[in-house]
Amino acid sequence: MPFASIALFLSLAGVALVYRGWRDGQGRFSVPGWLCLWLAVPLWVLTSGWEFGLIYALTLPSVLALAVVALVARRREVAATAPSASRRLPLPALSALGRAGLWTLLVLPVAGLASGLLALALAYVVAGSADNRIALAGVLLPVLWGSLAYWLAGWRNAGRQGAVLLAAGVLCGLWLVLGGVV
Amino acid sequence: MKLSSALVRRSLDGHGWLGLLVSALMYVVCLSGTLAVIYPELERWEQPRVDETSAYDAAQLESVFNAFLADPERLTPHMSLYLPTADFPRTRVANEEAAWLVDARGGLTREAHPFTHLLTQVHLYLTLPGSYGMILVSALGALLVALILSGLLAHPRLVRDAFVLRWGRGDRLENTDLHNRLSVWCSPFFLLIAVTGAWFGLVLPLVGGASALTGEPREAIIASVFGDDPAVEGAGSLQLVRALDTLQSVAPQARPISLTIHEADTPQRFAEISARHPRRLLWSENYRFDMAGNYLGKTGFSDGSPGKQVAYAMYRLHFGHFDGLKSKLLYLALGLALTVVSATGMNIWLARRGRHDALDLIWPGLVWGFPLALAICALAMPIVGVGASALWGLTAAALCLAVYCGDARRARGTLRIALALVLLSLVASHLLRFQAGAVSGAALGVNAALLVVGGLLAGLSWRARPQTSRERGSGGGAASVTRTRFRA
Repeated sequence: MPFASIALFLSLAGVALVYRGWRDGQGRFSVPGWLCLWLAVPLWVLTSGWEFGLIYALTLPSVLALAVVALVARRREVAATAPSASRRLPLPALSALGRAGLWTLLVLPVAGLASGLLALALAYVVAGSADNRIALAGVLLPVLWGSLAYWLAGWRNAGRQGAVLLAAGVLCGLWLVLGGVV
Repeated sequence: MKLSSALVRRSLDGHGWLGLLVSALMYVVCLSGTLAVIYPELERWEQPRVDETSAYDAAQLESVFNAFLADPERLTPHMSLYLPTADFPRTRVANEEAAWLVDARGGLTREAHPFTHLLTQVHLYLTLPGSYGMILVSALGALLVALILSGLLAHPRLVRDAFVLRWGRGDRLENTDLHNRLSVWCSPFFLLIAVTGAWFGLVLPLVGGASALTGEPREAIIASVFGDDPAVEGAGSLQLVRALDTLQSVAPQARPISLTIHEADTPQRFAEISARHPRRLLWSENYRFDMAGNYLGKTGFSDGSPGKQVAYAMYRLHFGHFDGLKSKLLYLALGLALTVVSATGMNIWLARRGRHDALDLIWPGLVWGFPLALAICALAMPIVGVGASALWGLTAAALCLAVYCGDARRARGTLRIALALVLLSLVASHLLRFQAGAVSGAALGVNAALLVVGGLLAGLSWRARPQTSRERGSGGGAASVTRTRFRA
């Protein structure tokens, strides 16, 4: 079956064209490049089945692109100098440690709990059976937790964010307790 | 789409803070996970003197397994027979405590792969007790999602710098380019790993939470995915040949990989044959039989609800064990990329701080010291049984050595050359112990890889050695200035 070879060729060609378009700043290479990458997808599916094929279609262009990055990397000959390190490890102030501890609590257990309850609530709304609900909640949980952690870490406002997490968690928990299984 | 500078600033700030919070654990989990992709090969490397074949005699295995089941010293509620496959051409029997290799004559040899077991314990649990470790590792998966999201939003030059890599000085620019190129191009894979990795430790707490809040019994939720136990009576010896023949007629496309006897110590015991379906990510479809080999039904992972199919595909999707060597090599490369992203992220933060203290020594101490500790454990394992305490103790010793070096470059160089020497010693000792066994099958591949990595590290350390007498005279001390080559 030549599909694998054609898929690989299209992936290689796609990455090469995308690179050429990037280097020259011209869409006339980038667009065909992305088209080649998209055309490779059904060929990977024909070669390996849709499950394996989608994974190859998603991951192989990354490897090929990094190979191009390595090939065209610019080597800088003159080594930079930097001060050497001291063996001392000054400890942060107690207040800084306290703030870090508070944010760690918010990002880890509080956001984790809130996102778990939110994931379950969404799953119970969308999915009909117990197995679908648990699978959906299991996939949603890290996405929601990660999104909440990003929001917490970037917009640090402990009072408001903590209150929002608490309210969301309580509402979802109440909905699950009162709404229950549909 | 142009990102606002406020969003970029907040995202970068959040990315840095989150990265700092998880850096050490993320690095350990990523490196151990990358190595764990080839854990079957490592198991074969640890015990290479085994006649390997993917063929088997079902009648002989029926006799061997029934004798195993009948042994009251070895009987536990779950007893398993692992059939040889192309990926792992060894036959094994196992109870809940140990496993034994089955040779061509039906003899049993205790299976022993303590180093691989230690490595997988690090990745799955960080060697912490019970499920707490798995929950912590899964939480890292969720935080990896946060890092991917914040990293992409903190990168306004994402397209402009898509193929830029300036290397050669080991400075902040090199680390930034490496970090950004690897993380942007591999972000789809990293997201896949984050979500699937989070699954294993978080799904059971989710089940517990759902049960507690909605009143659904926990067992019912689990049974909705894995199926109820069939009601059978009258245990006897297993008719394996009959069961396999029946499987062939029920599901001719399925390739059996293992068989488990559930409730083996009760009269309600039944057999479940796990069989692979071609080109499917699910671990297996499970076909149930009574002990007489009568077909009772299947659990429905192959054609059941989407939830069942997703749940049972998570393992192979996360570890890359779905298409033989091809998928493993792909996952090895991408897993290594994630490990490098973890290391370079912290390098960037250290370089941006504007001050220099012991953290500049501790971090490269961890980056090079942890793999060195793993390699020393692998080397020492055949002589003295070493476990998690030795691994973490050696890692701590490497950190102390790095601080003692007083200079980041010298710390990296010392640990790197030590790692190279230990890897090369590992190959030499394996050759001495196993002779022909060390250069056949999976052991050949593992030893070749160890040689290549050890050689590359030795070469890298040779190139990074002090070039001038001025540099040789200026090692250590807070007042001196040294060339900083490849940071971590």
